[in-house]
Amino acid sequence: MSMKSLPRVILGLIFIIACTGKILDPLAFAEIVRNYQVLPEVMILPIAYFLPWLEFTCGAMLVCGVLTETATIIISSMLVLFIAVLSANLYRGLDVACGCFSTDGSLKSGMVTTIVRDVVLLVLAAMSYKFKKN
Amino acid sequence: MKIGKKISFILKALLICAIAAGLSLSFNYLRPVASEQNGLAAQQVEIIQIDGAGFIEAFESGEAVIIDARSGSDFAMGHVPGAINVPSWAVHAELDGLIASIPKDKMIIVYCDGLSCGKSKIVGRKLVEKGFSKLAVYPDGLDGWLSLGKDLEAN
Repeated sequence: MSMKSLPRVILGLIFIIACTGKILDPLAFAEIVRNYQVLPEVMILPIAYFLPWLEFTCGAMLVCGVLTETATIIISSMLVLFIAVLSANLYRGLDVACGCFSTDGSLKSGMVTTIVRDVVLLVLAAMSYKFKKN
Repeated sequence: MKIGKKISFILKALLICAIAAGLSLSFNYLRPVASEQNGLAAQQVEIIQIDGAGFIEAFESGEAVIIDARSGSDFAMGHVPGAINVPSWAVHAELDGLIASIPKDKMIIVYCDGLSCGKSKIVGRKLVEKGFSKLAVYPDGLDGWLSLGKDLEAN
């Protein structure tokens, strides 16, 4: 494995690790999605069931080196969305669980830390995309 | 981005979404669903909300167990006197240990930081799942308690 594929593989692994708790307990994840108060009730369960698997599929594709360009763009879009939603809730003063890496433990980290972490992941995604193009 | 490349990207993105949806459907169809049904039942229970006057009345009469749904460090810095700390991320053995001493038929009031705080509702739903039936959330939380001129207890 060349050094250039390292950001891509790391990003893929992070997304695979992040989605496992949500895949195993989609209803607890639905609760967290509901608490974000940005989605209508009817969309909460479908999103809670689908989003972790999208994270898994994109992560697995990055690790395996399949359709990496598309997977990186989808992951970047998800990260931008997460940052936007987290920032909006931070601005609104809402105190919600992150739901980023698990369906319960992530409450322990603050929202600002989570946003910074997502920005770092976004940089990793940009690196992965750049090295792919070269 | 050229039109051909755009179409190729959209097709690839749709393929990834279809794989994710397929995996989600097959995984959730195949695995046991008992715990999910409990979860769904708990979601359908409407947890009542009480106002400041109701909260103070319950607090002064001592008839309700008051639960603080915030983190242990926040709880240690100051909480409603006599409250029990049940952090919203507590699950399984940890959750069982925290609520072991509370009788199931006791009135329970859960609070967290303040308006729009989600932690009290998370703990409320978990307690419904654990069989507690008389449950209320104080949505104004610690901010509301302080605005009523009440003191905190720290440990």
